[in-house]
Amino acid sequence: MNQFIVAFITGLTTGGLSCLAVQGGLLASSLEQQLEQQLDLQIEQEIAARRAHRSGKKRNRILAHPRLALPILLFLMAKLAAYTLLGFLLGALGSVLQLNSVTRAILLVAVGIFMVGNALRMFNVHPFFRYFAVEPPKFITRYIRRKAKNGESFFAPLFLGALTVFIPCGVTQAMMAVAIGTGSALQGAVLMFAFILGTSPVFFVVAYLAMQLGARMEKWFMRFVAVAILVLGLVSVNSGLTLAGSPLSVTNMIQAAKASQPDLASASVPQSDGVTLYLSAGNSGYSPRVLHARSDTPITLNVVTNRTYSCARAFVIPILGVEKLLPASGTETISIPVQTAGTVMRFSCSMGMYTGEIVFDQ
Amino acid sequence: MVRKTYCVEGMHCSNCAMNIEGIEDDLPGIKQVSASYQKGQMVVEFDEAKVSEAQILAAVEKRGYQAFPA
Repeated sequence: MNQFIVAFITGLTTGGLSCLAVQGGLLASSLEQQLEQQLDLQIEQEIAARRAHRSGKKRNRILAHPRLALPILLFLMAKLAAYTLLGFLLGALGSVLQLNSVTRAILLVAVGIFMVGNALRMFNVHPFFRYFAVEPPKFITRYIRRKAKNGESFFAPLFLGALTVFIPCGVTQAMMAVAIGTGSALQGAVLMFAFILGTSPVFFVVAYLAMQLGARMEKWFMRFVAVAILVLGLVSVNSGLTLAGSPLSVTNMIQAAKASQPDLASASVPQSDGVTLYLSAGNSGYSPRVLHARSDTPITLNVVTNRTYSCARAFVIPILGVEKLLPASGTETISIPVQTAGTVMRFSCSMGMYTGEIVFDQ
Repeated sequence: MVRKTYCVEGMHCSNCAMNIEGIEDDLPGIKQVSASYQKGQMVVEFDEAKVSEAQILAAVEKRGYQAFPA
């Protein structure tokens, strides 16, 4: 659920502006005819209102672009449907790839690098980073351009809204990669639906009020979007490294620094005795973050959940190849074979967001 | 019919390339424009008898970009 909320918020904050910068021109050109007609109508209304004012009659209120709301809505609805279908297909692709924690880690790092590359491209750091932008085939862009130019009535915005699936912005491309990472057609569809739904209010409001962003505003927005993509990219790389159990991830480094500090939340599960360990998987992560175990004997790890609905339920121990979907409430028992003294066994949720470790002592 | 390559400055996404290719519709002597954001270039195939290089560069400038012979 958290993942979908994050997707929605990402759409609401950065996705909408980024999409508008890439696809706004397409919407504007598809609405060109309506805009011209509207302008003519407004001029007529203005003239009529002035005449009425001179003759002492009550002046009619002129509505601001009443006819533009519907085509923009149609454009956005078609876009939402097309991207939901795309999310479904990408999720299905992810499930075919049968993602385990290692491939998911690789995918997260790859998505992160892709996002960081795109952010650096937007900052114009070096022309090389332009290769991080996906260029649609020429026959598609030519087709879209022709359709936009010859746009007629409401069919054009509906059709062009669906076609935006071929010209995704940087943030959308990153979200598409995350949809593959879900490994489920349904989750991929919901993720893209949540994201595009999030982009829609900003897209609608800005498109309705301005139709086209001014050059100065667009530059400012793109900087903002680039920073957001950069941060999301670094988070993705970090999650991938964490999931792979790498000590180089920021999460694991912070945890190593905190290792000596007592964990107050650990009181919610029975005390571990070095052979039978208890770990609480809650809505905000694992507790205690560091467990100590004996190295000369097999260990039983009990992972306890109590109304847990966060992604902490998707529990993985990369080094053992353990992947468990924990019950919302209950105890999952995992057997751990004998380990050598000094071994640090990292565990995390399947997205690498929540982490912890078992330290095997003498 | 000639085919010339131009460097284009001012593109910031692949949609800009699509926008530049729109000069096909602006000038009758142009057969085809193929712009690439990644390369920062455009390749124009045009009839010199019907349209001049200066007209092409002006059409690109009108769309908010700067083009010059590669």
